[in-house]
Order: sequence, then C-alpha cells, then structure tokens
Amino acid sequence: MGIFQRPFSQKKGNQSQASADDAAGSDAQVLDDIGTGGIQWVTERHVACVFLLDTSDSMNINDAIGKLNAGLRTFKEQTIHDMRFDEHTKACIDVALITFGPDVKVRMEFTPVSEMVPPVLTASGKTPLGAAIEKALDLIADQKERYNELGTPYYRPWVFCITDGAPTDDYGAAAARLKRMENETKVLGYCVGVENFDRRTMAGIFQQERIFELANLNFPALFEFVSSSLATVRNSDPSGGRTVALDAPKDLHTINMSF
Amino acid sequence: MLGYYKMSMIGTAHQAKEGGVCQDASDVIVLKNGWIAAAIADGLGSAKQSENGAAAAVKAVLSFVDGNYPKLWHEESLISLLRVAFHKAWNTTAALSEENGDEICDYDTTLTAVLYNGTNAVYGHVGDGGIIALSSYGEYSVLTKAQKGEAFNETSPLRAGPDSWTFGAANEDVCALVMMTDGIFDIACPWLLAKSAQPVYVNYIRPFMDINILKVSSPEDFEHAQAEIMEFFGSPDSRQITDDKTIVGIINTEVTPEVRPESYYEEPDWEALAREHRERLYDRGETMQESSGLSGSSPQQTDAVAECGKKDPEPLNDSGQSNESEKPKTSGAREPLETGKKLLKKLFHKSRKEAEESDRM
Repeated sequence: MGIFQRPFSQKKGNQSQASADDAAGSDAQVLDDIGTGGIQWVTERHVACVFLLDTSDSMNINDAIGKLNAGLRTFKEQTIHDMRFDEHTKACIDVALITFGPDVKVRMEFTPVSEMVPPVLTASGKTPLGAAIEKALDLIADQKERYNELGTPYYRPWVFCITDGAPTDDYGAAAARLKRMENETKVLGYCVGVENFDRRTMAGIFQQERIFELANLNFPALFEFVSSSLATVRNSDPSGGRTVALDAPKDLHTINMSF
Repeated sequence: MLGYYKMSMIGTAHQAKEGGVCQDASDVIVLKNGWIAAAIADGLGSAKQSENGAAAAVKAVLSFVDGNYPKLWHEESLISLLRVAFHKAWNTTAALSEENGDEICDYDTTLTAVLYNGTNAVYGHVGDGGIIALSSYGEYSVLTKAQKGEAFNETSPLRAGPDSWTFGAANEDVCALVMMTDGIFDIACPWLLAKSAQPVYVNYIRPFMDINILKVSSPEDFEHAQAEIMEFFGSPDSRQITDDKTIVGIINTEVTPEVRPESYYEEPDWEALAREHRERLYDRGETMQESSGLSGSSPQQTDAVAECGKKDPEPLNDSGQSNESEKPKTSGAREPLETGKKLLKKLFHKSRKEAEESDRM
C-alpha cells in the first residue's frame, strides 16, 4: 500500500485495517475501503428542490390530482432505487412540498428524498399561486441559511411548480421576487403546466425557457425526469459548464410563447 | 535542498466530454538565488478558452517573477512583486483574448502563486484552491482563503480584479508547502472540518509534505515521488475527485518537521461528523446556537448553478457559472470556535477509547 493511500485503510482512531506489509489480500481490502473513507463524505453536495403543487378544484378533472399523487410516489421510488446514483447522491437531494388550493400549505419541510413521505393530496378551492411562490422562496432562504451555517456545499435551489391553470390571487409581488432572485442567481424556477394551462400568465412569472407543458397528465414520467435531473446535477461537472444529457419524456415539451 | 514535484491531470468529468481538456496549469521555477517560485491556475469550466487562460496566467506570473525578483528576502517587496505579476497575468489574458477575437471571460482562470526561500513563503491568490503550509514545528495551516462564488463550484477569476486578489506571507517558518486547485484542495481542506480547530485533513495531506513520511532528499527522489503522486491521483483511490487535479509540493529537505502527538494525525470520525451535520441540517426542534460541533462562522456560499430545461424537449442541463462572481459573505459567528474543538476532542477521545478496547480484546 502506498503512503498516499494511508487514510483509506484507517478507520477513526487510525485503526489500521491492513498492514502495509500484508500480501495481496490487503489490496482488495484497501480497494473496498476506497470511498468509505473521508473522501466520500467531503464530496457531498446538496441540491434543494421545492415542489409547488396545484391542488385547486380543477385538478379533480380527469383525476389529475390522482395522477399527481402517483407522480410523487414515482419521484421518491425512482430516486431511491435508481442504481445509477449512490447513497450519497440520494442523501443530498433535499425536497420540500408546498400545495396551493384552497390555501397554501407546507406539506413537507426540506427532507432528504430517501426519507420523503409522499402525502395523499386532494383538490379543492382556488389557486393561490402567488402566496405559494412566496412561501417557497421563504423556505429556500431558510434552507440556504442552514446550509451556510453548517458550511454545506450546495447547488442553486429549484422551485418546481406544477399547475393546471392560473393563479387566482395577487401574484405580482411574488413574481417580482422570483424574478429578482433568479437574476441574482439565487434560485431556479421551473413551471410545468397541464394541458390548457394559462401560458401567458405563467410567462409573467417564470422564465420562458423554463416553462413546459405536460401532455396526458403523465406525472410519473415527469417526476422520473426531475428525479434523474436532480441526481445528475448533484453528480455534474464540478467545474461547471457541462451539459448533462438526459432524455426528456415524450409528454413533456416546451411551448410556443409567441402571442 | 529545496525540491519540488508538480502535477496537473485532467479530471474524469472533463475526460467524459468530447474534446475535453485539462483546464488546470502549473509550473515551478528555481530562481538563480535558489528560491522557488511556483504558480497554479484552474481555468473556469464555462470559459471556452480557460485552459489557455490558465496556462498564460501561470507563464506570465513566473516570467515576471523570474525577471524582477529582489536580491534580498523582504516580504513587502515580494508581495508587491507578486501583485504586479498578477497584473501582468491579467493583462496577458486580456491581450490573448483580443488577439484571438474572443471575450476576456473566455479565458477566465483562478491563479495562485508562491515564492519560497526554504523558510519563508509569500503568496498571491485569487479563486478557489489554495496553499497549505507545514511549519518546522509540525503544524499544518492554510495560507490562503478559498473564494467560493455564487455556486460551490464557482469562484472569483483573475479577471475579477485587484479587489479580489489576496496576498500575504506565512506567519511561521515553513519547511514544506503544497499548492492545489480545488479538486484536491476541497479534500485537503474539507467542508466537514471547516469549523473545527484543524480545518486541514492532516492524515490525507501529510504524505505529500512531511519528509518523515515522504522520503525525499534528492532530485531523483522528487521525480519518483512525482510519478507516484500522478499514479495515485489517476487511480481508483481518487475516483471521487472528478475535477481536474493539480498539486505542487515544495519541500526543504534540510528541515525535518517535528512529529506532533499521535492525536494530531488521527483520522477524523467522518461518520460522526456527517451524522452530526445531518442531524443539525434536518432538525427543526432546536436552534442553530444550541447545537455543538458544526458551528462557527464560515464563508457564506451563494448558489451553485444547476439549470435544467431547453427550448426543445432536450435534456435537462446544468449550466456552468456566472461571469460575475461575488466575494463570499462571512456569516456572523454563531458559536465560539471552542465548540468545534470540543467536538473534535470528543471524537478522537472516543476513537482512542475504542482502539484501546480493541487492543484488550
């Protein structure tokens, strides 16, 4: 064993697992230890994602709410069972859930995706998206403060909104705040609209290039895609600038915003 | 003698890209009076000519130092020398961009330079990565402050200008120092130890600096060490470091550092540190001030870029970096540094106790 590999054969307290003079068996043991030493812990990077979920009355149409519930379960299952990503990746994806309709509720504070308990959502009432965005940005600000307090490296947080309509509250201030935070590179906001959602209004809240339409209420496929994207981001090029290749589901497409 | 090794190696993340290149650069020169001058640079990932920017910056700094160093070691004069050298590097990258019809941001790079006479060291630095020094008393310390930008993987480039450049000198006599770009530096100075009394992962970095471990005393020894280091960073042992890797080690083989107590070199209890971190991160029942261990002030990171979505149903992407970087903000101190020290002691005490119990069995 080389001198540079010393930490990898040592548990806490420098208990050596292999002597440098051991024969071939010790090489396998050292190799087994690789990645279980300090390095895997210190390369941990977090990514926080808030899902803003429309639970207004219109989500009862065509059982969109049922499909959304299925999508949330898919998200968790996909993420924790995806063999492409190691345990550290799964541990570093922090998810929060906020629903809007009839009012704004934090269903889940930031939680590692492996510990996520997908709620069973029901739909009723109006669509207070403005208030939901404000709440999401507050949660993100708090989470970043936690990250910074503990020195946790993190990627830029996501706000991922899923809606089938348009906001029914005064969303102006929330939209301005989101836009400001995006311009300051403090957050990334995405919007996925169910077919016939109000594109024009959403274009006033989210960046046009980050608005998508989901056909066929294929929430499971959407959440599979988001899961893969989050985990891939987590494992992306550490020096930045790398395009990550992922296949978008066929039911997710961008929209023409020319009015 | 003053000996050195140097290595820059492409990371697996860049190897996987079509046309990927190593965006790091490094070089070492021995001045006529025996001093050593070294420089490393890490081209920013989003800058399309960053490998050329990094190479040009390193060359410009060392060239200027080589042609203008004073006869006597005088810290302030040498710091001024490095400051001008950084300007030269900046101007060189600007001229290069103009010559090639590119934007200057296309050549964005970090830059770290050091001058060492066998006892004293002065440095200049901008960006992430940095320098660790080993004193003749056997103590490891970080000379430079890693400048993290909006993203954990974003930083201030040379182009950010003199307000972002930092210069200084080692406070103690130095018998060895190591310069690293962030791929390795973030392991040698990991975030999990950032708030502890010893932010350096001593057990990891020691073999690269301490001649009690790294047996070097001749130029041939340094060549051999360089080859071993290259092999190490190209091996599965370093697979977790996917970024480009640069490490430059400069050692005074006439000075053997003191050996500290065994506890100084103990492997941190990473699982305990990570567990403590997770408990504090997700526990909403207590305030940050009430927790022990992972506390204290730290540079406040701003956000990393992880952008998804394109115009067509193309893959979700992550984009690289902003061209403008902000200096990291320092959060207010929440708990005294002593708390971090107590945790470290607790962890090491526990590990020693376990070791003793194990010996008895």
